[in-house]
Amino acid sequence: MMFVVCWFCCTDHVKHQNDQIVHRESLEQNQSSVPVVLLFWHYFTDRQPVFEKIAQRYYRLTGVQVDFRVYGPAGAYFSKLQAAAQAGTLPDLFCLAADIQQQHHYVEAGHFLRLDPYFDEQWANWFESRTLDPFRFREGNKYGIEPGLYGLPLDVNNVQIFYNKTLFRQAGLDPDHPPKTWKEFLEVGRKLRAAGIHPFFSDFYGNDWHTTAFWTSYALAYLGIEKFRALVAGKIKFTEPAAVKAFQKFEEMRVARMFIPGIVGYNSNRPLFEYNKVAMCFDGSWMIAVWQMNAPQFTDYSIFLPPQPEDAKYKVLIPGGAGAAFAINAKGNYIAEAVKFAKYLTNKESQVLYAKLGLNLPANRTAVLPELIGEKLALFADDQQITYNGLFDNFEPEVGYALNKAIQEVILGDKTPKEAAEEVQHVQEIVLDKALKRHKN
Amino acid sequence: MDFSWRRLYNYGSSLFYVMPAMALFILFSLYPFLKNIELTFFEWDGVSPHRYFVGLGNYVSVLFAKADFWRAARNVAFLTVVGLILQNGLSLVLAVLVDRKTRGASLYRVVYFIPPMLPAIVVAFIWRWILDADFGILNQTLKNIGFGKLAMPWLGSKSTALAAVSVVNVWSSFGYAFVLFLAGLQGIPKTLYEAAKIDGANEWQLFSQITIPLLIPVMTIVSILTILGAVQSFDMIYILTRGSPAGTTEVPALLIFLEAFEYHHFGLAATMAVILGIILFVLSLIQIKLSKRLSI
Repeated sequence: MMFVVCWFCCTDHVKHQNDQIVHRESLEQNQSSVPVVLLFWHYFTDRQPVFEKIAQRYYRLTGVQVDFRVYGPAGAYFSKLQAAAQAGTLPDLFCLAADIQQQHHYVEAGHFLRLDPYFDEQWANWFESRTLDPFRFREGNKYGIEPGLYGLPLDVNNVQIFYNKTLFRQAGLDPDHPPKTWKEFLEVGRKLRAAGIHPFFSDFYGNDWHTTAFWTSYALAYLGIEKFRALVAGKIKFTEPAAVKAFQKFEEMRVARMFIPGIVGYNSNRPLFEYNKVAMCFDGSWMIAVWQMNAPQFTDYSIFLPPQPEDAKYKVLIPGGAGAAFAINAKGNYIAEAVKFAKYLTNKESQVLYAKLGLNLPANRTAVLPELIGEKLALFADDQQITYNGLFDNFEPEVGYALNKAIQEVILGDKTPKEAAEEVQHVQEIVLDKALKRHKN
Repeated sequence: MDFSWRRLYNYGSSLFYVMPAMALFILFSLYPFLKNIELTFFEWDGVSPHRYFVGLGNYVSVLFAKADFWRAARNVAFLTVVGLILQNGLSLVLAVLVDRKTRGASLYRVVYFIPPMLPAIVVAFIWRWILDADFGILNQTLKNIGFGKLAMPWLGSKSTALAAVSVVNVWSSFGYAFVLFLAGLQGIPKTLYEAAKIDGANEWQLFSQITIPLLIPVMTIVSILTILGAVQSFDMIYILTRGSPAGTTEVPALLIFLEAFEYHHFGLAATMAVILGIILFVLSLIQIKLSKRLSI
């Protein structure tokens, strides 16, 4: 029985391998006589129809077929990607994490094509330079990877605070003037709580990115970019007073009773904001499409930037950058064709179609047309320039997880901001020490 | 054929029939097991063609430097104790009641076995909604019957999250123990009870002097299965809490998953799995030795 199961599991892989062998042999004989089929893996189940439309257009134009295959959900997709990388059977193009540093080991193993030799000026001009930062490895990066561009975005997003205008009115607040400063934000929270409304929610559980993203916005506001880079590199400590202030923000929110009860429990997919259970929600621009699908009647909301602390030296930056992204297999058989398709996929025509059908902000800035993407999404587009993704290296995953847990302890009131900072610093020191030993070996 | 050739022939024939199963066992169980042990001596990110030999470094790291692994072990010890006492106690009581030809016993046999038949992911999703702080029927019911003050974020509070997960575990698993206990009870000869009653034994004496001693082999199996089940719990925790809040419901299996697939430290993950396996093996041996001493 196990033998039969393994046989069937292997056939798709074997079939693709055989297809690859056929293609390689065809290249050797006469490339133009065999139709080229590019294989593109992704995990965006909602975007498969858009991708197929784009593939149809490309085929009519060039005669090159692009086979988009969806493998969801994301967790299963990245496991499949990992297995394919180990087996050497990655497809010609594939979606990757929105921040290439999370997949640095793929780049180190030579799986991602370095795009700089192909990325001409015309192509580069389609993007805001900040949009491409998450896919670049800079000079002197900690992984020792050759500096360059290794991925491309399909869409962009950023993360701000959504607020429910109906609930704001109920609490006697002006829905057209959301809070701009940290003091105003806490005051709004108090008023909402006094009116019997849960003020604030986000996915601050487990190892979810929302927690560290919110913390990072405020850490940058107190430290600035250069010092934050030094923090990531271990050159300054989490216990530095400016860094502790970022932890303090959570304590202040807890004292102001802003959090919905159980915010640190596993909350993903709970329909709280769109069913008027909470007045404010820290989440990304992609939620507009989600709410349109799940709760189309819910429209009375808007957004505001994470409020500026009065004592912060720098402006609050927001999480954001690329949303969906993809890379080209450096060991694929059709690199030239894959690059041509990558350019087509990110051109204005494709991106307009992508934005119109997918309700996501296009990565190509020439395709950002408010009449197509809607008023709410257009609000996010205005703030794309103040996103911070790609400005610095990421923390090591264990440090990120320790940061999450420490922040949750502050939210629960079990640790002070300083204690939380000390805990994260301790983990950072262990991890950096291990990394140094690994580097020496 | 002379005698030794016949023996060899018989041995060879037996081996021939067993070979396919052995081959599958070696390929899909023994080989991965040995490769896993080999991996514990290396650092590997799961993608790179290179691995770095670290000797016993991973073992030292897990045993002496990974506080969260031991905290997870304590969490799983809590789940195990709750399972052994609450789950198995409940199963035994229900099995005794059903064995006594209670009205509706056939129906109970079926109903009690439904939870274990449900996939863990279904159970976890159902209970996530039951225990939800805002939409859950538990909190809604408490509010409706005047106990609103008891309503709380069961899975989002450090004081209740692990207990809530234990309750879900007990609910989903007690059916297995119930069926095993029932089978064990039905295997005890009724004549023993009749003879004891003639000698003037009361209900409690029947239960403590006959039922329990003769059920010890079954209890051993149930206990081992309960321990193994609790220590290997992953899917339920992953859906219910992901280890939240603040690591309160982390279990070793979840940490192994995170270490391998989120942090890309396959060597360390393999090491944690090996250490966990050794702990389970020792516990099982102790269990078996204890039951041999206690059984008739």
